[in-house]
Amino acid sequence: MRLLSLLAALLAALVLCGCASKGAAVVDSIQAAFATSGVSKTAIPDRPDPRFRYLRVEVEGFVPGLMVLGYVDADPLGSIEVWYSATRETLRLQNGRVLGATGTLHDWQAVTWAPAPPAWGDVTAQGSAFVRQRDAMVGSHFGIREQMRLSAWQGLPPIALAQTLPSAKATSYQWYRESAAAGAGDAALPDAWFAWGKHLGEHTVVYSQQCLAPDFCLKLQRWPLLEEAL
Amino acid sequence: MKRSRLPMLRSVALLLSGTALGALAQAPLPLAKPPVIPGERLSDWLLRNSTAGSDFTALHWRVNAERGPQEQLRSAVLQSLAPWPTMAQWVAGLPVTGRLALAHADARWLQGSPQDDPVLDNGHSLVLLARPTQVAVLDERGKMCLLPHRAGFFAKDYLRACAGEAQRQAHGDAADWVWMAQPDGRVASYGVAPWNAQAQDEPAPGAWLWAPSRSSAVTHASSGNLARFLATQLPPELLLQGQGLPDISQSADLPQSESPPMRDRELSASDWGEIGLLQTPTARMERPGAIRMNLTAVWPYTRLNVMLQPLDWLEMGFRYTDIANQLYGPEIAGGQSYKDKSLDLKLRLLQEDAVTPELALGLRDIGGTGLFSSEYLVANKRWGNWDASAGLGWGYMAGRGDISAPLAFLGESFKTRGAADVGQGGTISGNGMFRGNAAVFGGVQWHSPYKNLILKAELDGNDYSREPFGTILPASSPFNFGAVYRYSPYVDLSAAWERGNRLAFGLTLHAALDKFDAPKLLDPALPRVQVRPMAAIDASAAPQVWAALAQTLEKYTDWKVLEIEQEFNTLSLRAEADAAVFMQERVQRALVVLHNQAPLSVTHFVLQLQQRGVALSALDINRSEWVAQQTQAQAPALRLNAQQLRPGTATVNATREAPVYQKPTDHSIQAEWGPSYSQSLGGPDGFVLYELGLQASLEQHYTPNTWLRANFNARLLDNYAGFKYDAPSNLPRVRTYVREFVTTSRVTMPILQLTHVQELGGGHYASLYGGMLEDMYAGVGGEWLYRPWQSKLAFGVDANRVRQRDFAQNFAMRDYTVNTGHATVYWDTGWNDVQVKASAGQYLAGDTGTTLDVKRVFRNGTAIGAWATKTNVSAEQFGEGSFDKGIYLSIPFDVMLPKSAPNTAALVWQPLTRDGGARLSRSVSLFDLTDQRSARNWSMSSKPNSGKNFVTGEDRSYVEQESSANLWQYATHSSAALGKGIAGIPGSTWAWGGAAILGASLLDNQVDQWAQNHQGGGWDHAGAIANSLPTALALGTGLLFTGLAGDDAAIAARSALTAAAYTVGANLLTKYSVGRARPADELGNSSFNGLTSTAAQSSFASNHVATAFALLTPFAQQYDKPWLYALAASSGLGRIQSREHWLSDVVAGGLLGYTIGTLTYEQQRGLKGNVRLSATTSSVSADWSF
Repeated sequence: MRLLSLLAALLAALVLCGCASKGAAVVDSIQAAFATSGVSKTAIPDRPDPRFRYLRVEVEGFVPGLMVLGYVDADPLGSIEVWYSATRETLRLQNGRVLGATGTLHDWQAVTWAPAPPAWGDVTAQGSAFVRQRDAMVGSHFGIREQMRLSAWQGLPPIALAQTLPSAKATSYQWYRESAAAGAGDAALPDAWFAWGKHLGEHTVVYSQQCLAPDFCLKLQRWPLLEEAL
Repeated sequence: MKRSRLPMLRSVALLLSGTALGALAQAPLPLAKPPVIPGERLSDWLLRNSTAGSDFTALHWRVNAERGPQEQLRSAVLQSLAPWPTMAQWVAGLPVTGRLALAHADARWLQGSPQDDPVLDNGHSLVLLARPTQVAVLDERGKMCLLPHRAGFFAKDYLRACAGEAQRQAHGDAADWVWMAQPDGRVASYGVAPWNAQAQDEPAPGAWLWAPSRSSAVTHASSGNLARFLATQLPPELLLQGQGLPDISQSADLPQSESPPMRDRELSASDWGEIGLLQTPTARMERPGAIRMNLTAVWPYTRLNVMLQPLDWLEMGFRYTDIANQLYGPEIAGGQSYKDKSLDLKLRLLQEDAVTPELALGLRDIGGTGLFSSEYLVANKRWGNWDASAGLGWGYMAGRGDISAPLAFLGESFKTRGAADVGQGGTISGNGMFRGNAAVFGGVQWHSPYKNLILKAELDGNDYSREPFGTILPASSPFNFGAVYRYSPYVDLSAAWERGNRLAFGLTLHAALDKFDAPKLLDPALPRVQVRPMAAIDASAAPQVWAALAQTLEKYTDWKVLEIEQEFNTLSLRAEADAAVFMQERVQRALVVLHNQAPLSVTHFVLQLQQRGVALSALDINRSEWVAQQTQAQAPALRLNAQQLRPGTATVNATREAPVYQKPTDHSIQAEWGPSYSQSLGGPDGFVLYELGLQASLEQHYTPNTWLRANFNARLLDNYAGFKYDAPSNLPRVRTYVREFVTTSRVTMPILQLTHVQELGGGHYASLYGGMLEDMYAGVGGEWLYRPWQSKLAFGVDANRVRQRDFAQNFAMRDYTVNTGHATVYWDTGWNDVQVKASAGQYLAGDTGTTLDVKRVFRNGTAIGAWATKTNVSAEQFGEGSFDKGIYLSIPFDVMLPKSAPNTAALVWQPLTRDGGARLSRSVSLFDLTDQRSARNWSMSSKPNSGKNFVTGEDRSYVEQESSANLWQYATHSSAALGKGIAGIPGSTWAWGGAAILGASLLDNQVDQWAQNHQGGGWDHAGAIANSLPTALALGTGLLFTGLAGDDAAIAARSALTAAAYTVGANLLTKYSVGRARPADELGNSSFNGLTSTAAQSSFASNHVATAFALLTPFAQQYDKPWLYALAASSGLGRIQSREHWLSDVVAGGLLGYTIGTLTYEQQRGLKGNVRLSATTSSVSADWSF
């Protein structure tokens, strides 16, 4: 995909420059296509503002970016973090799980669990089961019910992690796998993975991979990751 | 309102108890209608009023001011439902709520998107509902079916569960389309029948489904209006009670499992690039804006096809074919395999519906040598995942020739087909088309359950026994089989087994030109609009503060800010803008900067925009209104116009204050550089000849309107070593020295031009220029343009005296000098975004003629166009290609690059470069320079309208009118009605008509004798004029059809053109049946020889006269101008004088044209009943009886 994007940018630049009388935009575009860093490669600033808390978001086919924590809403099942992107997307996380997504390509609303998933520290290798109900707004799939299974995972998960998560860090976390059976009206989602560790003095989900649709999976990482012992 | 809500619901609950709908008593009631605090945001209201488990699926935001427009919408709905009183009565009883849809009812999201977060006020109300549980299905008879919502179920499942729909299906009258009004206010329509099935959203709980039956004839526009009105209503289980239809049924009997999701019809390219199967085309078309490049190989042919879809009924494209078993020959390029170029067209004649197949007429290889020239008529019918096609082809694609010259009845010439014209080519001529034997072709496409795989099977019309250059390719089967794998949304891979013995492969790249968009990652990020700007400067700020503001503006807009002036509460800005396509977006960027930094005392902004020193447009901005629109969602009925656009004036203000900022005069030289690339495809010296290099441009302004520009190019990399071929020419070599110009020097100076442009006032503009005007010509010239403000028409003239430059593109000259120039009419037709440019004048080779350039411009500024030039140079003189022509794509840089740029790329495909019809390439065009004067320029947007974007408070109360069908659709649908009309003509009328013709035939010989006595001189001249009358009438009617003279004339023109088409068809059959000899045949007026191959060109009845009457009758009746009949009759004079027709032929033609013209016109006017055509000895008239 990356190679394809590069080729497309080059092709566009070459085709267009044949008629260019003002080449600055073309030159800048070619430079950006070959650049290994910079705004065209990532929307993540080199020095995030220390006054805010950030979540790094990576989706295949898109430029990685940061979301900033806007609100923490109280809830009996755990506080709800409301994260904002610069492109008017909102992500709600509760105990690290996606509770809602608005303004994204695959919005989720009205997510509920029954019974509530166990606390991370209580999850065993044998696992526990619960039902998730949600509305997926693309396609207007309302009331999707999925049978979920959550279990602890020993070692690193068998998935490609974000390159920004050093393996030394990754191995220091406790990993959990959450599987969803196909719900009525929606295809089964790939497994979700959660890394539980210490961040800013608290135990929390520091990294996760969760899919809002079979072809729209988020890699969510607290940013920047601080050097803290588990 | 507040008081009436709960009592109404209580009464509803009472009404329900004890009824068959008792189950509905369990339906959720509104949780609350908490009060609105004026001035608070909706997001705050939601946070205040939401509790655990709150559901906002069907949240209603209502604004009293919206009731007026929604009342009008309901009136339009009621009007369209008049034939269905039950349904109309129910709609009439529905409340007009003023409900507006929200982008997202998510408080936290709204807080981050203030432009979608309304500020609540008096006259606003909010209704918070529990989550609905039901879905309602409605049809035109007033039958309503209420069903529980179930996840995973689509509209079709709900329809299937309703008893009424089952009955309709049993009678073959099921719904073909469903309109869905979702509880959140979104509206969509989907095809639900096997022939039009589409991928679709599920109905949400609380959705309304409007499913009129196939035979109901409810128009799409009316259904859309109703659906948008239903979207303003409460969910069905809340609304139905008290507003109930007499025939409500409730069913809990949903099927146990949902049916498989419906899928869109899949379209893919054939081996020839058009939408089709393998070797054969289908009648299918892509959506407008689709572009496709595909490379296919089946020995010995490798084809590179480029296909474009400018209109929904027109597909066109070009092709290079490499023929591996044929060389160019030693005199051209001995070692090269033969390359053929060709042009294709496909026109959709009919759109598919439940009964009628899709029908298309296509032409392959019409612009080339004709090696592969073919014509075809093909039909398609779809059944779910299957799509079958069947067609009849002529020419190359009909090599099997199993149907002997099916059009031979039209004349001898249709019996045989000429050979290909290698070496000349390019003649787009109807002389060879549809001639000779034909072959049947067709096949089927199946979209497999695996969504990326399409399988194809076809019967090929070609047996490959008559291939180009006399070769024969062995074919062991007429059936071809293949598969297409959709690797990505933009890439298809295909493989096939063809001719029973050959593998074929293909690669297709496809995209939507009208959806091109590039996020501007390299532009500076625009700051957010602040309701109360924190960084606003003071009105008495120091000059350097204002200069900093000007610099910030330039950074975000790429404009040159020339002056800023403040007078009272108005801040005026004068800026030199570039030729950016998306002007409105640049203006918005400027306003963000201005608002965030301008003094708070400023209430109005004035932006004066100029280009090359010519004032073009001015915008008056109401600051507070603009800010409100940027920072809160507003109800459309309350939204004021924040921006007024008007023609630009030379100065900012008549009573000028000293500007607070003035840009210093700058005479420095501006320099830019960039890469350059050019290529030539399909030549005999190599398929691709390219050069890659660097180009630089220098520009110096002496006054704002006068500048010198120089371009330099350095060729760094190329493959011109093998560039040997010079095309032959019978004309002055004005363009065919291409090789010499591109290969002589590595460093060239294509342009060195001094230009002055001037506004003359009143929409008049002029320019003068001189120097090295382009890479091949130097000289002097001037242009004048008249372009009224926002007019659809403009007119310009350019005149140039030029001399051919030396091949090195330095200051030296060759000895060829010529005057060249054109008068040009520019016309924005307003029809399907089509723009026309027609030029006439003298070309570079001294030839004179005209150029017609037609293009479809999409909203993102991209365009697909074609041009053709015909001059007084004959096809033989012109050489291969016969006349100059080409196809082009126009793509603004802004939709391709991550950085804003004002330029537009033109990708041109010109089959051959020849000297006839060659135009001077002028670098400054006044029409382009004054683009800001066009209304279209301000409506361009870089954001493609995906239909998925949704904003709070979007105006959905508009009344949609049924779009007028195109001429073909109209003609087809009206043919049945016309047949009924003809059948309704009483026998006495037929008798009168027959008597008139017979009576005229008694005078045939005397009138012919008169014609014989009036030959030559002025009579021949008068006859020629009369003979050309129908052609002139047809052209004029065509112009009127475009709406040039208003809607009434366009309606009459549509009737006229349809009537003419019917008349020609009917008369063709008449001629073929009767076969009467013409007077000039000297066989007398009683010689009949019908049903022969020449009969279709016989005498009875006169086509000219019939067509003239058919064209003029609708106008004569609409405008009550009986003298138009005399004009039509005058065409008969020419036919008689030239001895082409007998008097009785003319009378019969007149009656035929008049009859069909009258019937078609009356049908168009919507008059119903039985036609009574009355013919007496003194008059012929048509009446409708009721």
